[in-house]
Amino acid sequence: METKTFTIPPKLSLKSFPKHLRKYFYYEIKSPVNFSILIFNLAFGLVRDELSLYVFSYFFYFSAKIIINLGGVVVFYKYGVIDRLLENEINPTLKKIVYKTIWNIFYYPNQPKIKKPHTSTLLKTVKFLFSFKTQKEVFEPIVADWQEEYFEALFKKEIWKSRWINVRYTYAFIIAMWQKSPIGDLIEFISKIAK
Amino acid sequence: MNDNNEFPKLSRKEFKVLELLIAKGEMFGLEMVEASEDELKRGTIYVTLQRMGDKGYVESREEPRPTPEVGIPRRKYWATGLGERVYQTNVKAREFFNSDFAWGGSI
Repeated sequence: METKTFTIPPKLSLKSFPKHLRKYFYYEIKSPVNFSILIFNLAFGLVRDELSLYVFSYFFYFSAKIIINLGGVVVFYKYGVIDRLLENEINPTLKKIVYKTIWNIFYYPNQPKIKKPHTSTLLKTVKFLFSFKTQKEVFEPIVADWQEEYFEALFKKEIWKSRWINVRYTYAFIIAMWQKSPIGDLIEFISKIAK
Repeated sequence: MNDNNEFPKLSRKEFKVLELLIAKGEMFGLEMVEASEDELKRGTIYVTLQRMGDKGYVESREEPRPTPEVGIPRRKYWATGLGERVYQTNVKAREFFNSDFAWGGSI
């Protein structure tokens, strides 16, 4: 089978990633709580490898943003600016700067939208329900083929085909789960006896 | 050596898988699905391949993706010696069953 596989560019930049693909690859970061959950997921390997390159780049960006702004607040505090702000004896421009610095620690404007890849939940379910051997030999090859066809369709900008591929492989995944379930094994056993 | 003297039966899907692997050598699961002309399905191929692997008819290995691709590595399959022997046995059995000799001459 001749395929043109889609390769994720190695640059750690969201802008280098084609627009029609971005929404399939990103986690949503709305707040410091959400960001902390994302870091937790990264630390415990719950994020798939193909996301981690992009996510880490944003991790460093947001960490730098938080550290710089926190540093700014500490400097303001050290030089008595915060006290003057509280007593309302402060230059209006400086007041705006201080507010902006504090706001920047908590506010995440214009976030790149990051969603989990659609196979991660299915794989987590399978990891919970089936053995490691079954996961490696049955379900991960299905996901590998899914990714192969999916990215090929996206590379050719066949968006509707890529959506149909999602539907088809979700069905295939469910069929495989059914066949590997105890009922599926029982049916297989009965059919062997019947032969 | 087949210690239990049972005839190694192959299901239709297993027969098709072995037919493809013996004819074309190593293949990915998706390649087998596409070459089988709808006989093999995406949802069932890997369950079948796992069962065949447990019986010793096929083996597989993970094929890492070439850089800079990322993603789950795909699995490549090939028929073992036992698998080939079982396939040939089933082919001969089918030929005999379909031959005139099995029916005691032409009907």
